[in-house]
Amino acid sequence: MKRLTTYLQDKNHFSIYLSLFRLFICFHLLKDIVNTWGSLDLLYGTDTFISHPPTIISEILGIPSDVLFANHKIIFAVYIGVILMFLFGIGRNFTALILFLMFELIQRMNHLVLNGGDNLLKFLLLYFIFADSFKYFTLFKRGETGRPSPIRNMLSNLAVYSICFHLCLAYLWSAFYKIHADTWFNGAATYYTFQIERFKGTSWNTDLARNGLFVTLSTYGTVFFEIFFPVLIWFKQTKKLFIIGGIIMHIFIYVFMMIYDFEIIFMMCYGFFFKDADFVRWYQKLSSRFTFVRTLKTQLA
Amino acid sequence: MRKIFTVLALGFFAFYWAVTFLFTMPDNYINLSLYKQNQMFQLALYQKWSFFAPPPNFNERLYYEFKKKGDSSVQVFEAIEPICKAKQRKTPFNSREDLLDYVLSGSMNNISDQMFELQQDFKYENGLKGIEKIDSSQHADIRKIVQKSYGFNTLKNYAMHVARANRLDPQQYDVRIMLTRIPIPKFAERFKKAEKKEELYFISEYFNSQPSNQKI
Repeated sequence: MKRLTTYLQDKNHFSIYLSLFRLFICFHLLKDIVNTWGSLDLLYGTDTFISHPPTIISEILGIPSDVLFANHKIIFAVYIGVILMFLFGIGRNFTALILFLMFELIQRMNHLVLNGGDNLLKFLLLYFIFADSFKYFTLFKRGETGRPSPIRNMLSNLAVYSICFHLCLAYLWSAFYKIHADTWFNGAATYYTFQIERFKGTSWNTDLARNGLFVTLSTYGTVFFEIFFPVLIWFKQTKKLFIIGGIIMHIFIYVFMMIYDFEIIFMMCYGFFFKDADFVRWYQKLSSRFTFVRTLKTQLA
Repeated sequence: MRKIFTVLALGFFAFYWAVTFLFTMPDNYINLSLYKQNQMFQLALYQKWSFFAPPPNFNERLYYEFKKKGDSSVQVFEAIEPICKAKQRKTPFNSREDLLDYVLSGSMNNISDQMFELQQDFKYENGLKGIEKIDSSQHADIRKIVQKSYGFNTLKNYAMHVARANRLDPQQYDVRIMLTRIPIPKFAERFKKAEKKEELYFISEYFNSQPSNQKI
C-alpha cells in the first residue's frame, strides 16, 4: 500500500500526454461545433422537426428545457468560450468541471445524434476534472514553488488510470455482448455490419462482406482483440502489438463504416498507456537519429 | 491530514470502479437486486458498450403515405435510402446527412424498442391469463402509445419536409407513417439472388399535415 501511494504521489507520471490530450479534446469539440454549425437550428432550434424530451438536468435546476432550446445559440457561445479557456489552461480544473457540465447538458439536449465515442468522451471530461493537464501548452504558467503537491499528483495519476480502466471496460463488455450474439460467436458478424446501408462507407463493402475468409477473420479478430486488450495492454511485451492492432481495427471501421469521432477518440486514448518517461525516451531517440543524419551529411560533404 | 485524504481518495476510487463494473455488466442477479441504485447510476453516468452486438440483420425504410383529402389519391415517398446514399457519396464530408440519418434512424429505433417492450408486457399479462397471442385491441393500444412518443413526433414533424421536397401542399393531404425492414440475406445464402422481402412492422394512423416554419 505504501509503495502504491508513494508511486501515485511522487510525481505526475502522465503530464506530457495529459497536456497533449487536453489540446486534442478542445480541437475535437471545436471541430464538432464547426461541423454542426450549419445544423444548430435543425438540432436545437424551437422550429426544428425534432421532438425533444426534457434534459432532466435543467429541470433539476428549475429551468424548463424549452428555455434552453430557445436560447441554444447563447449556450453554444458560452460553450465555445469554455472550450477556449480549457484549451489555453485558463481556470485550470474549474474550467474542466464547467466544460464537463456543459458537454453533458448539450448531449442531453440531443441524445439522438450521439454514439459510443461521445459516451466515452463524457467520462474522459469527467476524469479531466481531477487531472493535472496544465504542465505544458498553457497561456499562463502558474508559479510553482517547491515540490508539486503529492495530493494533486495522486488525483492526476488516478484520473489517468480511470481513463485506461474505462477504455478496458468498454472493450471488455463489448466482447461479452459479442460472444453472446450468434453472429459474432459463429464468425459471421462483419458480413452484416458491412451491409447495413447506414454504415456502408464504400462500394467495396458488399464484395468484402461476401468473402468468407475476410468475414471470419475480421469477426474473430475483433472479438479476440476486445477480450484480450483489457489484460494484455498492461504488459510491455504485448502493449505495442495491441495498440497497433487497435489502430488498424479503428481505421478500418472509420473507412468502411463511416463512424468517425468514435474511432479517433478510442485511438487517442491509447497514449495514456505510456508514461512521461516513454515519451522522453522516444523524443531522445528521434533527436539522436536526426543528429546522426546531420553528422553524416556534414562528413559526406 | 494527508494520510486521511489519501485513504479517502483511494477508497472512493475503488468504490467508483466497483460500482461502475457492477452496473455496466450484463443483467445478472446482483445488479438486478440493486435495480433502484442501478437506475440512479444510469441517470447520472449512462453508458452502453454493446456495439453491434448483435448487429442488425436488416435495413430499414421510412415511408410517408400522403392521401389527398379531396379524391383520396395516394403518393408514397421513402426517406431513409436517399439519405444513406448521400451519406456514402459525400463521405467523409457528410455531417448534415449523418445528422439527419442519426435523428431519423434513432427515432425509428426508439419506436421499435418501445413496441418490443410493450409487446413483452402484453405477452406477460396475457400469459398470466393463459392467453398466447396479443389481440387486435392490444395492438391498437401499442400503436396509440407509440404515437405519443418523442420518436414518433419527430418522424411526424419530418413529414412536412418530405411534402415540401416533393412539392406537395401539406394542407391538402393527410399523412401516415410506415416503418419496414428489409432482411439482409443470411450469410450462407449471400450469393443467392433472392427477392428482398420487406416486412412492415409499424403503420400509424392518418394525421393532418400542418404547414410550419420547421427548419430542415
